[in-house]
Amino acid sequence: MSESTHEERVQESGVVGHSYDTDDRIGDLDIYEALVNPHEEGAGQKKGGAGGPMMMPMGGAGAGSGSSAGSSTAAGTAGSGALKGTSAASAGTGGASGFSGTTGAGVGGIGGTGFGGGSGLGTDALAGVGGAGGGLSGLSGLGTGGGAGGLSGSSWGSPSFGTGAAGLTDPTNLPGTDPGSTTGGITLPTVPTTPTPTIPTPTIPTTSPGGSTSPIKMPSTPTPSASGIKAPSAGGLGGGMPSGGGGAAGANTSDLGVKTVKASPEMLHKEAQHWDDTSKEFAANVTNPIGNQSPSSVDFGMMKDAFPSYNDLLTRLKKWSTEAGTEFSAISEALQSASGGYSDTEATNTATAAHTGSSRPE
Amino acid sequence: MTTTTQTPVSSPAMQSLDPDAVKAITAIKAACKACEDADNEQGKKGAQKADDTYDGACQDDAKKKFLAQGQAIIDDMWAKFNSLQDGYQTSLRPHENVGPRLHQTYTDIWVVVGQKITPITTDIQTRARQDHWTGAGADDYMKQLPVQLSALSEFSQYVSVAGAGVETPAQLQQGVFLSFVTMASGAAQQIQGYAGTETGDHYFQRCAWAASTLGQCVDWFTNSLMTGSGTWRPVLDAHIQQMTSSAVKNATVLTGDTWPKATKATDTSKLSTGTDPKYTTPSGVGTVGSAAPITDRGTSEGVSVDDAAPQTTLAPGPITDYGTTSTVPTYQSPSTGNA
Repeated sequence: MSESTHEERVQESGVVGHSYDTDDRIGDLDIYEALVNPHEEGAGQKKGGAGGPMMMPMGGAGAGSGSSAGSSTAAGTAGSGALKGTSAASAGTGGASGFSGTTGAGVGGIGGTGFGGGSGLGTDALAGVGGAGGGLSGLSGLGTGGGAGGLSGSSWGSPSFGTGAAGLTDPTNLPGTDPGSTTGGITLPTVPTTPTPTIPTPTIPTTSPGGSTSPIKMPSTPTPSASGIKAPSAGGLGGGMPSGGGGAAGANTSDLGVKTVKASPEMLHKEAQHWDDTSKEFAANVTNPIGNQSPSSVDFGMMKDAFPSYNDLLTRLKKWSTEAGTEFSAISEALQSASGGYSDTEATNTATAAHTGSSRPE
Repeated sequence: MTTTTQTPVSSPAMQSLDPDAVKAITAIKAACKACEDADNEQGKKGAQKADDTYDGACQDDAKKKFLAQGQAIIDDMWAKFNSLQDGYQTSLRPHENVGPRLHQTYTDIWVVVGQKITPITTDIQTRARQDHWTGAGADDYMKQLPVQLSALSEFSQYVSVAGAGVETPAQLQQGVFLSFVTMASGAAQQIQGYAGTETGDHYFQRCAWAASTLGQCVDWFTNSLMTGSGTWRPVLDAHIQQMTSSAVKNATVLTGDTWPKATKATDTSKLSTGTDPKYTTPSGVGTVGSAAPITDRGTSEGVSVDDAAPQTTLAPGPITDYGTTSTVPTYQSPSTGNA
């Protein structure tokens, strides 16, 4: 994992509930296991946004929460607690955020503050998320940082905000997606940090063209506990909010059943290239030579009785070698997809930060 | 995890032994001709002696009888030679390139493929040890690698088996040719030795010995070398048994004849370490080529002047029995005889 030499911030002055020196910090890049595992429920596939860039500091609250994994502590800090990831949100949402501030970021976050956030950014990603954000926070951590943005229907297709890629499920299925509802559809657990029923590892469909298919299977019930989602800390819930203070807190991804591997786009790209080279090397030096073999019993002369067993094995080797090359290639593509997602997200974040007029502290 | 990759071992190029076989057959032919010439030259004296002994002034029955008996022995010798030559020409020679080609498949394909897999295996092993992937999810990612590594290791094992699948038959087929060459070359030396042997009062003895030796060669060629009975067949059967063994038929990692998917969910507890060979070269592969019949000159004593006598009771009997009588004195074998 490469450490950034400097911190990128998209803090916008005047935003309530954000701490200048921490809240706007663009988080480190994280990679979710699913993205480097081509067969884990479609992980790594860009289709449908699944496997796209996960988190990213990008504001999308959710995004932040996800990336800032482990920031459960932030939850505790409530409102301002927003750590990484909230920055973008804040940028867009502006004051909206802070709101929470108070007690568990989660609560605050839900309070419709998310709405503000949406408007703030004025981007698809954040748009229309609203209170729901809170509920999503945890989800964002699952893989995408979808956060508020993720909720926006329009944001699905856009991995930019680190939300679209998230490939969250149809917003309509998400709790609290109704902008007009302050309920947010999420019922905060009374004890935020208490891990409740473990949510099954998020499953990402192998194919989800156009994002029509929900990359991440979301529980339909708005109640985290009921849905089997491990109750994230309060902060975690808040993380879903565009700017909610708790947003940053982001759910501890491990609590959500999602494990992360810290990596940089360069590392992912290098690893992907490595597997791609391996795939090509394997095809050229193993698959093709074996595939070109087409012996007959005549070739075995007086030892023709040995032909059947050899030919049988040869047939199996041909199949194996072909599948091996395909598998290596799939691994490469999954890693490459993740790498590309990271880069895209970073670029988008930078652009967004500039657009929102954020400053970059020295 | 540590894996051991089995790589087919390269070996020297294999060439057709047909030239050697032809050379040996040619040598046999030359030796037989030498025997014939020597016997005919000696037979002239025997014929004259028979004529002097049993024929009158206007008769040559004994002489003709003597020479006819000698010619029968010579013809038998050439018949056996032709049988051996034709047997090689029609049954064995068509496979002269089988060994070299199968061996070439082994060296050019399987050995090379095995060598190419080795660095890939090493590379994945290295990746599996990389530590720059940190975090809880790293474990999940890394869990995929042992499966791929084990699959590659087992695949490598199968490559070795496939190599043996062509190399063992190649060696056996080549062994058959080598056996023939060994047999033919030995027979040529033996028969050449007969040609230079002084036989005393035993006429057409050289060709009789040659016919006996060639007869044994033909029998062995027909009943053993070409069928494999007592030679290469047991080894081939052992080879086939291994190629069809459960170790080969039932893959450990490549189950269902399918390459495992890169997933952390795979059970890695039973992954093959690649240390258990799926195939072991059967014993005897390397000795098939040295198999050859132990030939001798038989017990024939050729033709004597007395055999031309008009008395029916003294007739030598059918030509085909020349090698079975035992009433004549034992002949001292020449030092240049048996090889």
